[in-house]
Order: sequence, then structure tokens, then C-alpha cells
Amino acid sequence: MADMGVNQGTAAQAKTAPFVRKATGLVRELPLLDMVTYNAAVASPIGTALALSLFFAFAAFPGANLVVALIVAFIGVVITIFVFALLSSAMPRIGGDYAFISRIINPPLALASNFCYLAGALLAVAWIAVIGVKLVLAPALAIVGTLNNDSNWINASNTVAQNGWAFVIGSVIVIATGAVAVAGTKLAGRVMSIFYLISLGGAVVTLAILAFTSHDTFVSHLNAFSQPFTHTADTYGATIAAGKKAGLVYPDQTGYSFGNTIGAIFITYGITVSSYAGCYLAGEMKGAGKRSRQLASMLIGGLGQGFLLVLSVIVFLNTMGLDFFAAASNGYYGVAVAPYSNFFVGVVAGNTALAIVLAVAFACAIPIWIYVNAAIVYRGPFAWAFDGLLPRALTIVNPRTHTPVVAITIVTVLCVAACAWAAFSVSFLTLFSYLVLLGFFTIIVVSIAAIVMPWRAPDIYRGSPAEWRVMGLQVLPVVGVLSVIWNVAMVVLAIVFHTNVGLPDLVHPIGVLAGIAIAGVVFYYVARAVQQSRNVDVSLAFKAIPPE
Amino acid sequence: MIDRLLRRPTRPRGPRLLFATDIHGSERCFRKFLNAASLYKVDYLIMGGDITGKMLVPILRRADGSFECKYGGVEYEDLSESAVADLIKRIRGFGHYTVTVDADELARMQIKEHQDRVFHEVVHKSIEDWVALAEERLRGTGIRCFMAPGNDDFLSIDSAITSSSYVEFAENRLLQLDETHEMITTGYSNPTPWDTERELPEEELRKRIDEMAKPVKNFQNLVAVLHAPPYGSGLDNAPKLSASLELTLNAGGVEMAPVGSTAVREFIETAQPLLGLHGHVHEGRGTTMIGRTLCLNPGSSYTEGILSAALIELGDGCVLSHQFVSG
Repeated sequence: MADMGVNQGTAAQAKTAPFVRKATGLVRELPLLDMVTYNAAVASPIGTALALSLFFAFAAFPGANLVVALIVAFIGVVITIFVFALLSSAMPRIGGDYAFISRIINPPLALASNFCYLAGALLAVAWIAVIGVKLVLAPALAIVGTLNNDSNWINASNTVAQNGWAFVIGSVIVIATGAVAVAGTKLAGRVMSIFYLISLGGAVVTLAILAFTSHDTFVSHLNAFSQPFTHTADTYGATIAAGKKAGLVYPDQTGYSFGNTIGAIFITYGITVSSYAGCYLAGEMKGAGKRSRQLASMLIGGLGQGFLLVLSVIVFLNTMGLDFFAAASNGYYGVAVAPYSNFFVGVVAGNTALAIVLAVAFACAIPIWIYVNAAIVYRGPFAWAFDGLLPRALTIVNPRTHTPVVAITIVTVLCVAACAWAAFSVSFLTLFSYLVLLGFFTIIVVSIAAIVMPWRAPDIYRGSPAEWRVMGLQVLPVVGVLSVIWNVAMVVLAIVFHTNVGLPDLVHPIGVLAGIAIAGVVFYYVARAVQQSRNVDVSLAFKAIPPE
Repeated sequence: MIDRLLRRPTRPRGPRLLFATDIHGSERCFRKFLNAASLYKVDYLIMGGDITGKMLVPILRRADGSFECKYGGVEYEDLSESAVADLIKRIRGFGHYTVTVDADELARMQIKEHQDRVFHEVVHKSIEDWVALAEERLRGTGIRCFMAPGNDDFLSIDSAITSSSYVEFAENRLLQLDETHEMITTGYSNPTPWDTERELPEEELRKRIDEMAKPVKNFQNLVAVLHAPPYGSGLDNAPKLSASLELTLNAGGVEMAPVGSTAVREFIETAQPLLGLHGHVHEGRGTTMIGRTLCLNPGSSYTEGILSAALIELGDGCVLSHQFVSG
């Protein structure tokens, strides 16, 4: 609401300040910090992002300079956030890309884009659930077992890391998250807020301990801890030597790989760009119609996390050493445990309890990440149903909990099916690349909508917060063009480095992308025809009404 | 081709109405509301309350003939006549009002009573202008246009509508739409945290609705335009506020809570009209069934200059079709 938070003027203040009368909806604006936190939570929990970006980037692009890859990725993040923030401030409503594209370009393309985005979000839920088991829960058990020298914990870790268990436990997490969502947004919000704070607290403690540990202290603690397992006094050196013997390239000896640093941008961008996703819930956010608030919340949320990530990488590598971490990430550390920050903090501190607490904090990020992605998928059918493209039954809201039970149930079932695929059929990296590619299609089409908005939808554009000029230049079309260039470049990176990012061939991902997009177009025409048979013309929902 | 395969023979069309609400003074939305009549080929246009804006922007005419004003966080200075005309159009598009004043008048407007009087005058004039525009655009088309104030609207605006020879004032009246359908309307709501102009305790609101509905011939064909949505219907979910009128946000988004009227809900549950048309809660866009009654809230996007409305085709004892439109 454009007029919220404006106080009644007094003679002492600027005399021409607007006068506001008593009326419904005049509430105090949502604190910016709340909106930032929300967008940051939607993006990716920092602790998880830290582990994933390092793990995947080191595995996929040996010799890449991750700090450079992250900083370059910020350019793309800023451009993409500008596109979504400006469009969202002009059209603050549920549906994100669907709302923008259907009103600015046309509904079939909007459905094609939205199908891809929601499929990506759905795969993200499955990906997070399965990595949550394999890369968070299993290592957490192993860490506790290793630090306590207790084989039962390590056996449990090996068991849950198996595909079958990963699917079962991942599905249970997805179903539990769905159940919390059904129980009410209030409860879900509170649970997720608690988890977010725990997760963030864990990441901060991890970072702080590692930042105040010297490299020599780390090496001596690691060697002392590892000796009973590796039977060598210099496990640190042995890990690096094992990697070198296996052909691993160490940047500090041969220099960073320029090609792989460029390739790694695909991953660092994919991990940090998602803070624009807050626009999918903009219809529920007060103050969402303000450009400055959208930009600030998305930029601080996204870049704030990104800068924390860069800082974490610097601290992490400074304390542990790049060569050691590269070797450990590629499986050359002689102790059978995932080389995660919480493990090393436990080693440094020599404190099992602290390692357990940090493992729990690390694990708390998983349900939040699942929930915020699933919440975007839950809302998809609502935006379609409002335009008459879906039966009303799919958007039925439980009168007691006020939640869309049918939509949540269907999405949960689809997520469980995707979990099966994620657990049994593809690698993490392949799945990650699929979901990022699906997102690229949406971002590119939204960017095209941003370019043409002043001409295709002048009535919405003119006078809106999106109509912003800097030195006479219209910002929205300019950032739209830059975003198309950037995101097409990212697709080109994925094509050039397709084997690095887990795509053995290009036919399958392109086929999947085209199939989902075509399904969206077909869905629109079928829905329109069905409604036509009932004398309802759904195309009216997208028509612009002349204002004069 | 898919269209042709699935298309069934078209049936005769029933009376069609367009319902919009909560445009809060947006000039752009009101003009779209009038233009929508021919675009969607409707028989009835219904504006369901909260039609007036919430903010008055003073524009200072300086001694040198230039203008200055503060709006949307921007301080405009040295504006020419044409620049100020553009700005006024923009401000009106967002549902806010302007008043051009000299320095003395601006000083007087710092006094609350005077400020209120000016606000009332400006709002009243704007409704008179809208009614005149509706008469100009719709007279002779056969389209009936109904307007009702909502809880946010000054009581003083009623006379601007009742004085029209074309636009029908719907508040607290039972109106015959056609031979089959009747309509009752009230813009009064249950109490809000803002203590607005037209609020009633739930018992009194129920009494007001019941009194109005007493002469209804057939509830199965009654259209009930009740500004406040039924409590707990999903059409009344609004952001939950703290005691200091602050929003509450958590990792799941803004906390929402039902704020509708229990009186409206009870009336719908017992009388079971054909259709319940509601507004009041801008975030509550949606439809729900309460027994046999289709209840509908088109929501509001007036701050974007977008008209959110519902297009409904009535049958005898049934709703033939309904859909949300916005543009």
C-alpha cells in the first residue's frame, strides 16, 4: 500500500507533507530487517550454502578461484534482483513470473515459464531433502561417531547414506514439512523462524571459531585427532600428498585455473541468486509495492548472504588451507567423515558436544529450505485458479487452519516422487544443474518481459515504482537487457562445461526443459477450452482495461 | 484445434454483473471500472464500498507562481503549471487527493479541524465528479450502475451519490435487479483497529442486514453485497497486527489472521443467498462456498492502478459462471 506509514504532518515538519486520515490498512510498515531476513531465508541458509558451494565447486571445477567466482556471480545477482524487484514493486502479487509474463507478454508463455519455475522449485525440494540426509544427517552422525570413537554412530551414518534410506528419511522430512504447512502458516512460520535462528547461529559460531584459529593450531589439532584413524603423525600433509598423487591440481602450486573459475560461476551464481524468490510471495507482503524496499530487501538479503559466504570461504581456506580442503573435498582425507566446517570446528575445539550442537544447527537449515521452496509451489495453483485456469477444488482452504490443504497435499506427493528420482536416479550435481537450468528459462523470459513492459503494459508501468529513470535512462528495460545477456551467458557456461556440472549430454536437459515448457502451453489451451465450454472466457482475465 | 475439440454448444447468456470494490480513490481504477462495462458486456456494474482515498497531498503555490509538494518520499520544487498537472494526475491515479493552496492556507491546514474539513470537501467533490463521469459514460447504454460506500468512506459522501439521476445508491436498500434477482447492500463492517467511519458491533450489523433482507421474496436468487467478508471464510485473511499496528513476519511470511464479520457469516449460513459479494480485505481475494452460497472477494490492487473485479453470470437459482478479472 503506497500510503502506509506516512504520518500526519505538523507545522514543525515539512509543511507540504501529505495528510493521512483514519482508514483501514494504515499500519506501520514492516521493518526492513524482517523483509531482509525473509528473503535471506528464501535464498539459502548460509551454513548449507557454505558447505555446498565449496563441496560442489571443488568437485566440479578443480583449481577454480571460488572467491573470484563468487564476486563475479554477484554482478549477475544484482542485475537479476533489479529485474525482479522492479517488476515486483509494480505488480506486488502472488505468482511471481506468472503474474509478470501473463500481464506483460501473454498467458501461454507465462504458463510455460511458471511450469519450469515450479518444476525447478519442486526439484529443489527433493534435492534439499536428499542432500539433507546424505550430506547433512549422515555426516553429522559420522562426525559424532568419529569424535567419540563410537562405531555405532558411524554405522548409522553409513546406513542412512544409502539410497533407500535417503529416500525414506528425505520423504519423511518433506511430509513433515507439508504437515506443518497444513497445520497453519502461523505455526509453520514460527517453527521455521526458530530453525532459521538456530541455523544462522550455528553458522556464525562456526565462522567465529575458525576465524580465531590459526592455521598452525588447526594443523596440529587435526593431526592429533586423526592419528588414531590414519596412523600417521602428519595427516594434514598426507591428505594433500594423496590428492596430488591422484592428479588433483592445487592452485597455489600451479595457479588458479581461469577456465574452471569461469565455469564455477555457474554454481556460485546458482547458489546465491535465489533471493529474488521473495517476489513469489509479494502479494502477502505489506510495503511490497515500494521499489526501495523491494530492492533493499532483496539486495541485502541476497548480497548479504553472498558476502558472508565470501567471508566464510576466505576464513575457511585461510585456516584450513586451500590444498588440504581441495584434497579433503575430493575424498583424500584419511578419516571416513565428510569434510564439513562443523566437523573441523569440533576438531579444533576438541569438544564433541559443540560438534553435535553445530551439526544440529546445520541440519535445521534443511526444513527451512524445503519449506520456502515448497511454499512457492503451493502458491502456484492459486495464481492460476484466480485467472480461472484451475478447478476451484485445488485451492480449497481449510476453514480451521486457513491453509490450502489440497494444494499442499498434491505438492507433497509430487515432492516425494521427486525425492525418489533424486535418491535413486541422478547425481546431486546433475539434479542441481537441472533445477538451475529450469530457473534460467524463467529468469530469461521475465527479463524479456522487463524489456518490453514500457511498451506492452504502459498502463501498469507508467507511474509505477518500476518507472525509474537514471540520467534520463529507463532502468527497467536496461537491466532487462543486461539480465538476458547475463543469464544466456550462464546457459552457455552450462553447455560448455556440461560434463563438469553433471550433465553427460545436452539432449536430456534440453528435452526436459522443452517438455515442461510445452506442457505449460498445452495446459493453458486445454484450460481455456474447458472454460470456454462453460461460457467462461479466461482470456478476459488477462485483458488490459483501458483507463481513459 | 484443442478449443474446437472441447467446445460445447453455447447456451443462452444470463444477466452478467461486474463487481469491484476497495478502489480507495483511484481515478485510474474508477475509469477502468466504467470502461469494463462495455469490454465485458455486463448488465450491472456494482462498486462495493471503500471508494474514497486515504491521503490528501497539499500542493503549495509559491508567490513566484511555481509549485512545490512532497509525495511518495520525493520533494518536488519549482514545478511549472504543466508539471504540476502531470503530478496531480499521477497522485489521483494512486487514489490520493490533492489540494492546491497558498502559504496561509497551508498554515491553516496544520490545524486538525480545518484539515478534516478540507479533506471532506475534496473527497465529496471527487465523488461528485465520478458520478458525473458515470452518467456521461453509461447513460443510454442500458447498464445499471450501483455504488455503495464502505466502512472507510465518510458519511458525507452519500449525498454525492444519492443526488445522481443515474447512479443508484445501494446502501441499506433492497433493490430489484431483474424479474428474478434481488440485491441487498451494506458497506458497514464489524469493528476494526482503526475505528473507521462505518463500523457496527456484530449484533447491530446482523440486525441491519436482517432488517434490509426482511422483504426479500426469494433468497435463492438474492445477491448480498456485504462489504465485510464472512468470518473465517478465507476471504477475510489479513495480516495479523500487533497492539501498535505493526505487522508480524516470520520465516513463513507475514502472519495472517481472519478479520471478517461473524454477523455476515451467520446471515449467509441462515439465509443462504445465491451470492455473497465482499471486499474490505484486500489480501482476501478468492471464492468459497458457505452452504449453497457462493461467496467471493475480488481483492484490491488499487495501489498499482489495477482494477481487480469479479465477472459473474447469474442464472435462476444458480450462478452460471464466475471469474476474476483484472486489468
